[in-house]
Amino acid sequence: MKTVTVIPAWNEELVIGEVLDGLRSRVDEMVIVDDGSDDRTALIARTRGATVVRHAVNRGLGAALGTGIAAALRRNAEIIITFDADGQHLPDDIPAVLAPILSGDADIVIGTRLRDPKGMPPIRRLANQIGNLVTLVLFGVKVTDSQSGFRALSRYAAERIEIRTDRMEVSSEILAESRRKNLKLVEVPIRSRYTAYSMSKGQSLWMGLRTLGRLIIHRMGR
Amino acid sequence: MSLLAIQIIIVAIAAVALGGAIRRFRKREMSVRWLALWVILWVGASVVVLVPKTSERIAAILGVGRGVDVVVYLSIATLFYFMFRIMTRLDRMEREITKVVRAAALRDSEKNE
Repeated sequence: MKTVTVIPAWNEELVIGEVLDGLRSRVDEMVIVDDGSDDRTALIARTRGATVVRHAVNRGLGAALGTGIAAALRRNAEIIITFDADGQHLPDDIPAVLAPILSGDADIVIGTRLRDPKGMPPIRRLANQIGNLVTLVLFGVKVTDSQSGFRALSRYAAERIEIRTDRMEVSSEILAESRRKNLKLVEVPIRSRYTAYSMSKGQSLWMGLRTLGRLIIHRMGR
Repeated sequence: MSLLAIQIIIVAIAAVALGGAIRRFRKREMSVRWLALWVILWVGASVVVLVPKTSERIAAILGVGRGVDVVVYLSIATLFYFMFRIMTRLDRMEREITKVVRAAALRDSEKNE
């Protein structure tokens, strides 16, 4: 099974090299979506053996994921793994996230940080719980980590999920789409590293509220 | 008939807005439909301001108490309508930009191989 990792990245020159080094032996191909970075993200990714797909201007996480999934499908991926570029995920968790797809028990797997939220800062945990509640109320999908960026999708699922939102609301949208398309969804616990770097790249309360607003508008548009 | 300051100000604003609209229409930056809309809006506003009786008559027809209230209600409704239109159009534009950026990104990445 050809596995391709999709990594959306925006100005991640400090960590992207290390993230790619950790992933290389675990997957068949790495696709970096450089979402209009101003720094050397694309250059570093290329020298570390990743395929770089570059947005000319910044379009947001959702747009970058959509582009990455499209690129992976064109490269004949049979399984697509989405992975955050900030270094918070552990490549060692990949086999566990892939397992339900390989065994045919899932079309889409979400790596959940919250079965064991040790080390997650309380404010982050609260924000995640609000995200889960919103996803449940708006889209009827009950998960423990609706905002996780670590996922695995079978080719079947990747071809069916339509990403229409450009920004952070994409995480909830993917869940909503898997429900709409009747995909089998499984959550697998993963570990996380909360480094000073990944925290600084994380979401502020204000961004969270804006995401919430856009999700409500998105729901009404359906 | 003596004019109140507020009447002069509003009519002046209407005149400037209309002038701008006509100029943009001449430069083909504005469609006939939008020009017609602006003309109706600003001429209507001027008439209501200069002859307050008109709004009172409309108020009576609609069953609203005062003429001024009719103007306020209609203004708010109109503003909401335009805001909604702008938001949906903006949303569509964003999605289209993403489509263009994505297509270019995918094409370039395949060309580089």
